[in-house]
Amino acid sequence: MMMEILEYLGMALVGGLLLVLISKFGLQHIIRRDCYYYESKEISEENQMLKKAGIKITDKTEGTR
Amino acid sequence: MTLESIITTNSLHPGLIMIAMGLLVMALPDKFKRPVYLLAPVLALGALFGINTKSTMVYAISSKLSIDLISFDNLALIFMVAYCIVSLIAAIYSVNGDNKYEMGFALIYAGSNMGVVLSGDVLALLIFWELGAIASCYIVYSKRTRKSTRASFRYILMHGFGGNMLLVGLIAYMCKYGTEIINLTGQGGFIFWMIFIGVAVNAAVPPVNSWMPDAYPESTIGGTVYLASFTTKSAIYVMIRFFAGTEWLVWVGAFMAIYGVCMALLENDMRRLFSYHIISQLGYMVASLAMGDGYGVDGAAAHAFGNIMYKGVLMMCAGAIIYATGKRKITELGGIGKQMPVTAGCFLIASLAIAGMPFLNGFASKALVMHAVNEGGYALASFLLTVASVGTWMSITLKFNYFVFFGKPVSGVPTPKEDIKPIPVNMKIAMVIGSVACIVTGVMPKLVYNMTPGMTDGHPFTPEHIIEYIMLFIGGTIIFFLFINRMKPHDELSIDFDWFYRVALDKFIEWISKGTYAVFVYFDKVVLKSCQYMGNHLGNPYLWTEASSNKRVQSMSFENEDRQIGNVIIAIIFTFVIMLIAAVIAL
Repeated sequence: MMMEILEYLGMALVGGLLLVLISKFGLQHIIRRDCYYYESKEISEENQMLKKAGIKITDKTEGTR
Repeated sequence: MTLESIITTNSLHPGLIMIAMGLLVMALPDKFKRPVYLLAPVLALGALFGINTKSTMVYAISSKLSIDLISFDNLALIFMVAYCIVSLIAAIYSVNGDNKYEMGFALIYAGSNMGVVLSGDVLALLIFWELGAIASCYIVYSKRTRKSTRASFRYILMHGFGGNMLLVGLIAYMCKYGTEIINLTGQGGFIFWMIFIGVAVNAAVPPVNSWMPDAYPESTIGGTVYLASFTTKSAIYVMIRFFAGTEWLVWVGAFMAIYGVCMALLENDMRRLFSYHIISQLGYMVASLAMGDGYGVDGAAAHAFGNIMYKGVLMMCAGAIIYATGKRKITELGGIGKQMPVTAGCFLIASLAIAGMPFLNGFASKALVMHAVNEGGYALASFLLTVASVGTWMSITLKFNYFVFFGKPVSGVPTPKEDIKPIPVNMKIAMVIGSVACIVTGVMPKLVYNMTPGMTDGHPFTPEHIIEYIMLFIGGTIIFFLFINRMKPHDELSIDFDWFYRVALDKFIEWISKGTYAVFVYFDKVVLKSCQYMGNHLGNPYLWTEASSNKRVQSMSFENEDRQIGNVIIAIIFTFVIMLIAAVIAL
């Protein structure tokens, strides 16, 4: 029984450590961006299109923050 | 033609009742919407009691084509029971809603998914599948903010893609096999892949998973409870029907389980975090169904049942927090356990259940899943699923309870008491019912096991199994507190596979359109210059003759009838060019 307890504990420690390494040390630097990463791009593109079309730019930020 | 001649039935259809009640909610005046909304799942549950394996409902489109709306067995039973219970819980939770169209579409959505589960052939399945996609799109949209509108648009695009894949696959399937639903394991080929891609979109299999964390958090608090309960679970149901026993899916499931927890460890938005946990839990179901009949299918079905319960509670708790505080991010919250004891208690139960704490329903269903994968001889996949359990414990049970309810807030400052408004009683009742369901089916897992197709017993309460999970949680807790500073969420966004269609595809289309524009501009210029040249030189032959060094040519006259010679030359060249182009095309 003691061996099984140690086996599961070891598995949890190794597994937990792997997950922390993958997510907090790996993915954290690759896939994390500013909260408004998509929205700011979309809003600036829309504003550019409106400007080119000669339409007055209204507040497009409603609901984004 | 009478109604009896086109519909042959001996039962009521719970899904059609929900759909009809949904339409009624939208059609009736506002004062009737709440009673009808609550009555619908009660009637559906009542209709479910009247269904058995002999039940039938056949709609004859023509003398040669019919749709079989009811086909009932134990697999359908376990999903239908879960759907009816969660529909009732979700209706109680969101009965205070103001938007009757959202309420109506929620019932239609739930009814459509019941229709998918009860489908006796692929035609019925397809119709209810598509109806569910449309109804769920409105639920995402119903919050009517800029974000929810855009999320619903992306949602319908993804589900439109998946639906079309499924449609193509099923049309080819019907041509080959007829309308009866049969298992496609070992078939491969076009039909297999088209149907698989279509179902995988709804099952949120990476890389077609990102619609879920994108759309679910943008819906209303009531809408999210519905969304989290049906689409993905119906996809698992259809996967069991078509692909149970396809062994390579065990790796897909293991990847989903790990992928979901890794993303959840990073996440800050409550409902995005729970969405990633849905993906992770779906991984367990996919891995289990890959092992085929017996423990495999039973594990997938039991885990889907449990997931509907505890995920519903988690989403309801998130909604309650948003309702009470107006905040949706972990970094904006902290120490609210004392101010929201019912929510905190229910959340604790559900978060322990999802991690697999003994005597809660997640533990009981994981016993079947792990037994199936181990029995199949997939030791590495079994290890990955075990690691995913540790990750679930760290990323939801510890992280959320510690930073939001009971421990130290990320900001260091607890949410002020005056910023928390009381939540309505109906929301509390719904959360408590869901939590009680997690406990009851956890303490008495046979209630669920007996509904599974094989009625297998996971024997979850062996000392070894209990010690296994306790040790896993101790290990996870040690790692969590060792890296406590790293575990703090940050107010950032994780880019997922949606980056490919929100940024990369966007840039690609921009590049293509700008490139096409540049090519056309170039040819426009060439043609314009040619026309100018032709006009100048052929339209006025003196420009040629005057410039010539030959005296005879210089002295040529185009007076009178010769003046039109330029036009004649243009006509001849133009005709020649046309003939040349025609010849090239013909060759």
